[in-house]
This record gives sequence, structure tokens and C-alpha cells, in this order.
Amino acid sequence: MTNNVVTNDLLIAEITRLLAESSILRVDSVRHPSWPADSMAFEDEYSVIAVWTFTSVEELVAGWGAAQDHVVDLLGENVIATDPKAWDGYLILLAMDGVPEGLVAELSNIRSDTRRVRKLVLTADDLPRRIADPLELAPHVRRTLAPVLDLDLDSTPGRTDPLSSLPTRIAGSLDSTTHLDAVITAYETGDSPLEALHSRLIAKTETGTEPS
Amino acid sequence: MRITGITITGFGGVSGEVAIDLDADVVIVVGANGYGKTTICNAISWAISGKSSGAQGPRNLYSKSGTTMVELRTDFNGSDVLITRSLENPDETNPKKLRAPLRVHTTDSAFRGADAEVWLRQHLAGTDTSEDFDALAQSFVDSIYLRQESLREFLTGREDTERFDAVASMVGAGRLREFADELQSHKRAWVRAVNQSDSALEGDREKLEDLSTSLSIIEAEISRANFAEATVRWQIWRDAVAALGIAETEDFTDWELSERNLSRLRGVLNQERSAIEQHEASMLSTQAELRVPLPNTPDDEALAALSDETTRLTEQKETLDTEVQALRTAVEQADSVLRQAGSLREDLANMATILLRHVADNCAACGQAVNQHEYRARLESLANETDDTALRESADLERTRLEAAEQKSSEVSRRLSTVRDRYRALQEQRASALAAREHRRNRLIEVFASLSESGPSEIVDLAEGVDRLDLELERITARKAQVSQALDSGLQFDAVASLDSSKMRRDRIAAESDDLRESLALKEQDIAARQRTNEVATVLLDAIKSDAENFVSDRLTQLKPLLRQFYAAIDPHPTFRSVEIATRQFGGKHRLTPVLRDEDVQISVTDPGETLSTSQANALAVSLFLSFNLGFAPTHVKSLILDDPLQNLDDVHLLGLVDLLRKILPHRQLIVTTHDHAFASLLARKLRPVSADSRTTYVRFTKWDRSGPGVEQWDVPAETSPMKFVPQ
Repeated sequence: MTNNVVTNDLLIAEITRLLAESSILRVDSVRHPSWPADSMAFEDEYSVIAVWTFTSVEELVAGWGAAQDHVVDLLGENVIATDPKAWDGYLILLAMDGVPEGLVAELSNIRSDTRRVRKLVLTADDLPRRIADPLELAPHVRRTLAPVLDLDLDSTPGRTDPLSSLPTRIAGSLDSTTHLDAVITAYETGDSPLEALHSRLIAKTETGTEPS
Repeated sequence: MRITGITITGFGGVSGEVAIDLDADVVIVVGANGYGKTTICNAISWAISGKSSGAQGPRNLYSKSGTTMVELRTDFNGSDVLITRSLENPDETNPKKLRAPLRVHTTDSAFRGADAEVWLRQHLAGTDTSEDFDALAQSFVDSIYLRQESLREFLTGREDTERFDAVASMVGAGRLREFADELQSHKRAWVRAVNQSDSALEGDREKLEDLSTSLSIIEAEISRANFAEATVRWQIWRDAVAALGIAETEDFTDWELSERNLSRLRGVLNQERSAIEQHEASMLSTQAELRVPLPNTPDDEALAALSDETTRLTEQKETLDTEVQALRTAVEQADSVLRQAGSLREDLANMATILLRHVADNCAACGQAVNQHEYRARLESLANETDDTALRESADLERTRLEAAEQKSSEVSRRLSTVRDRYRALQEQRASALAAREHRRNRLIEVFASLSESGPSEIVDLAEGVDRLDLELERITARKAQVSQALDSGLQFDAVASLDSSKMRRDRIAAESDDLRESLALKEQDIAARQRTNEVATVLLDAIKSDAENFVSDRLTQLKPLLRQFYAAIDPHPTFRSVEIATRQFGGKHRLTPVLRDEDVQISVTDPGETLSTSQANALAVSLFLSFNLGFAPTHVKSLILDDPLQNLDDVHLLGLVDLLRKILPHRQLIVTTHDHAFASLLARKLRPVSADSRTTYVRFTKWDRSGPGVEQWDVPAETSPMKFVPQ
């Protein structure tokens, strides 16, 4: 598999996929006519999310305000002012190049500016240069879009009994884990673990093999 | 488990009673600092864990009722469960001595104290654990109750070992530690028991050594003994005993020299001597009895003379009795005549007395002419006459004769009685003498009968019998001397016979030594096996203890993606955007350190307190708390309590936190307190209900005075058509 350069299209596709995974629906049909062609709008029960693409960080720094105005206008035209959703807008700003040293602070200010809508900024610095699979983009994109995406709880460790996996974990430091199995079983049934271990060792001595 | 309501009485900042409906997906509690918001959180914590943070305990200082109680209403998979804790001794001034037992009421059961704790532990713990309730409950509370100060202290104030212990408990390593502790405890007891068993064998070992020494000594004694010569003497003595002809004993002519046989022969001789002594005593007693003189026998002439005298006196007595009887009749007749004469004389006197009153020339009775003077004298004589002397004297004479006869008869009777008594005494003396003689004869017959097998022999003459008795006594004395001599001769075999006992003792000790040696070997084998078991257990225990770090480390590695999600959602730092928790073992202790990383330039910091601002550290702390709760799910409690999480968070991090809470909403009930009305409004707007079956409630603490807080509560209206762009 060859590595591909991360393009704007790949990024947009991944953003769209991740938003859809979180039941955030695209609402292009109501998009304001003045929006650029590669901008997008999304909605879920709580919020309205706009995605705005810039060719460079400089352009982003220069144009994020106008983009925010467009989003506010969109909200104003479709959501009444007292509606909570009127205060629940997000603007995802994309720039497909790295952040020049001189604009780091500026980008930080944009991120920290919580007036009107919340701004989420994603630049090439947040992404790998090349990828073999578009899914490789997911963790990078998810990190920026975390405030709007559902939690990914599929990989949570959850509750577990440390004793059940204990023999596997310490197998490397023991000649055999069968003795440990006997000790754990005795402990869980309220019997003496030492007596259980002793019986196991005696049985092994008498038969010359590990008891089943 | 989900919290649906709480009633607080006399607890924390509540002096009276406050009931709050918590049956909502989001509970926003707002009020100025000191109005009692934290009391709700602490009350929930106290109800579950029984621990309170206040220096004076959980009591409200202004409580009038004196009651301190929290009733926590909960929902366990659709079933209502009431968890109650109340102070039993609210007057106790020492907070450490306060008793506040737990009570749990389910729809069909009620539990109290330890039973309630077991119920709660089983229903809240992820696994069937028997961990100490206090520690486990505190772990539960720590996993659901976010307190900024304690979390920040966790990050920046605690030792890395303390951090490890806290996280280890939260990820379930407590059960691992509990297992290791249990194994360690059993192992100690095992070692003690094995050592005691080994010590107990010292007695057996010493005994075995003693037995070996005894065996050596006995063997030496036996080897020194000269049995041949002693055996010849034994046979001579044994034959001599046999020659005594002791009847009714078993045949011992073939008995070999042994302690047992010596003892048996002595028994035979002693029995014989005892029998002889019994006979001897009996005969001596008889001999002494026979030597007492027999009583004299009265002669027949004396008895005949007495018999004749008795006859003569009897006849004399009969004659006298006849004479006395006749005289008594004569006396009675004389007395009768005297009484009749007296009666006539009295009648004449009476008549004369009457006639005297009528004395005249004629008799008043018959009219015959009388001499008045003579007539009067005659009448006076008759009237005064009082006695008939002749008749009386005659009667007295007869009486005198009777008395003389009676006296003579009495004398004869006395003499007759004396003679008869003497005669009887002589007869009895004669019978007694005859009986004594007969008794002696019978006694002799009896004694000789006991000596003779042919039955009683005839004794003609007592003197001859006595002579025979003397002879028999001499014979018995001689036999007794023979038997005694045989017994004395047997003493010579004591020493030799005891050697035979030594042989038996040697055999017994040898057998005992063999048994003891075999038993000792088995026991030592068992102890060695148990010591091997302890060695294997030591290896296992070391591996288990070391595994605590591996387990925690594995769990934290598994948690890493979720922690990064949460940290990214709040995104507190522009360059340190990656976070993880590292574990290590140093100085024999497990340690845990949060690590922040700038992945662009590969720089890490392990002390967030020195790198992050207070706001950023708070954001990291909240991320850790939420990731632990959702990632490890250490308890079945589906509620999260965030007490004023706003502190020191700037706007963008605040929004990040609220966004994160909104994403957690499908997974947890949220109870959030804040002093900031703007933040509360933001929460109400951001965490608004967007369907009819979800609920966000707003609890406002309006005031606080000594009577407690003022509380208002209302629900945030549900947005039933939340989609504005997408057609529904």
C-alpha cells in the first residue's frame, strides 16, 4: 500500500464521516448562498456546525471573522434568538498548511475566542503528511473535533476482575500457571490457598505430571 | 444505580429538613458560596461511605431536632432502593466516635449495619469482592464525586506512591491486593504451622535418641549375664517346689527360668503359705478354746435329796393350806354370829329407850304390871347395853388360830420355793456342762474334718481329741516352714529373671524405635513438602505483588485513548496536548506519575503542577476524573457529582468542559453545582432536554440562615423539536 498525501478532499471526507458517526447531519440544502463551495453546514439536536476551508493559515487568520459572520447569519435566519440553539454554534476552521511561527499566537487567540460561536481550528500541523488509509486521519481529526463528536467508548477498558487475567499476566515469571489457578480458585471459594497449592504440588510429585 | 432524590436532615448546612428531587438526567444546583450546595454532594457521599469531611462531623450546628440523617433515593435497574444513614449518637463530641449505621430498604427487604454494607458492596462493586467496606466505599465515592481541591491535590500535592494506591484501588487492583494480602496471611500461618510441626518433632527426635541409648545399655547387660548356671539352680528349686506337693495347681515342672514363671511359682507358694496360715490360725483358736476348763457337773445324789425335800415340803404345804381354809370358815362364822347379836341388842336398846318414855306401873308393850323402879332400871340397862363380850372373845380366838396357821403355811412356802430354785439351778448347771462338752467334741470333729479328705472322724474322748489337735498343729507349722524356705530360696533368681525382662524390654524398645523412626521420617517428609509449598507460594506472591504495577499499567494503557479524548475535548494547553499516566516501581514501591507531552517536539513533563496553570491543571484533573469513571466504571453508580467544577477555568476550557459533559450525558446522570449563575444558565442551555423523556432540573439555593437554606426547583423546558434545518 502506498502512502498518499493528505488532501483537502480526504480531510473533508473524514470530517463528514466522523460527524455522521455522531449523528450530526449535513444541512447543505439550507446553506447560505454566499458561502464558499467547499464550506459545509451540519446540525444535531443541540448545535449547528459549520466547516470552513482555507488554503492557508494566513488566509484562515484573515478570513475566520467573515466565516463566523456567515454562520451567525445562518443561525439568525433559521433559529429564533431565544432558542438555545442560537447560542450553540461551532465553526470548524481548516487550513491545509502548517502554522507559521508568527501566527501561532494568533491561532491560539482564535481558538480562545468564545464570542458568538466556538472556533475549532485544524491545520496541517495537526495531521500526518501522508497516510496509507484515510482512517489513519481519524484520531488526528477527532482530537480537534472532540467538543462536537460523541465519545468513542468502544475501546474503554471497563470493569474487569484482575484475578481472572492474573495467570496470563504473570505467566512469564512462573514455571507453570496451573499452581496459580489452584490458588485463585481456592481463594475465590473461601478455601485455604496454601492447602490447595500443597495438594496440587503433592499430586504433581506423585504422578509426575501437572494435574488437570 | 442512579440517584433519584435526597432528603437531608440536620446535616452539613441543613439544620431542618430539605428534600430535593434528583430524578433527572441533569441536576444543576446553583447558589452563592456557603448556601449549602456542597451539602448535597457531601450528603450523597456520607450516605454511601459514612465519611464526612467536616471537623465536627456531619452534624448541623443549629439543628433543633438533634437528628442527623440523609435518605438517598436510588434506582437499581428499575427498582427503588432507599439508602439511609443517620447518626446514632449525635451528642458525641469526638467525631471519631460517631456511629452512623447504614440502612438499605429495597422493595422487598431491609438491611441494617453490616448487612446493609454487604448489600451495597455487592450491588455497587464490579466484582464479588470482600474488600473492607470503608475503603471500597471511599473508592466508590472518589470515582463519582469530583471535588476540585482533592483532584488538584491528587495531581500536584500527593506523593507518586499515594497516587498509585488511589488509582490502583479505582482500577480494581484492590482485589489483587486483597488476594495478595490473603495469600500472604495464609502463607504466614502456613510457615508458623510448619515451624511448629517441625519443633514438635524435636520431642520425637530426642525420644528416638533416648531409645537408642537405652537399647545399647540393655544389650550390654544381656550380653554380660550367665544364664546356664542359673538355669540349673532354677530346675533344682522348681523341683523342690514341686515336691512340696501343693495340690490344685498347674503342672510347672517344665517351666523355664523367666521373670514371669518365677512370679507365677512365687504366687503358688504364697497361696499355699496363706492357706496353711489360715488353718494354723483356726487350729490355734480351737486349741485356746479347748484349754478353757469345763464347768462342774452336779452329782445325782444331791439332786435326789433336793427332789425328796421338795416332795415333803409340798405335802406339808397342802396340809397347812387345808387347815388355814377351815380356820377362815370358823372366823367368818364367829363374825356373823357377833354381827347378828349386835343387831338384836341395838333393836332392844331402841325399844327400851321408847318404853322409858312411857314407864308406868304397866308395861307399855304388853300391859303386864311391873315394878316401875326395876322396870326402869331394866329398860335403862337394855338401852345402854353396847357389846357382847363373850361372842367377841370367841371370834378373836378363832382369828388368832387362823393367823398362826397362815404364818406357818407361809414359812413352808418359802422353804419350798428355796428348795425348788436350788433344784432347778443344779439341773441347769448339769445341762450346761453337758452342752459344753458336746460343743468341744463337735469343734474337734469340725477341725479334723477340715484337715481330712475322708470327712469327719469319730471323737470318743475329748482329751484324745485335744492331743490329736496338738499333733496336727505341729505338722502344719512344719509345712509352713518348708513353704517359707522355698520362697526364700526363690529370691536367688530375681536378678537373673530380671534379665529376661530386659530382653523383653529390649524387644519392645526396638519395636518402638522402628515405629518412631518410620513415623518421624513420614512427618519430616511432610514438613519438607510443606516447606516446598511455601517456597512456591513465595514465588507466586512475589509475582502477584509485582503484577499490581503491570495490572495498573495495563489498565492505564487501555485508558489512554479515552483520557486523550477527554483531554482533547477541553484542550487546556496549546503545546502539551498529549497526556498519559505512567507507572514505575522504585524503592520497592509502586509509583504513578501523570505525563504531559508535546509530541511535535517530543518534550515531556512529569510534574503538571509546575507546568500547567491552575486552570489547565483543573482541566487535566477533570479529564482524569471523567476518564477513570467512564473508562474503568469502578462502580455501578451511573451518576456523576461535580462540585463547582468551574473554579479557575477560563471561558474556552469551560466551554470544552460543558461540551464534554454533554457527550457524557447519554452515559451518566450529572449532578453539577456552581456558585456562578451564568455558568448555571450555560449548563441549563447546553444540557437542555431535547426529548420528552429526558429531564434537566434546576435547583437554586436562594438563601442561608440558621434555619438552613432556601431552595427553589424547576425543570428546564424540554425542546421537543430541536432540529431547525433538518426536516423531522
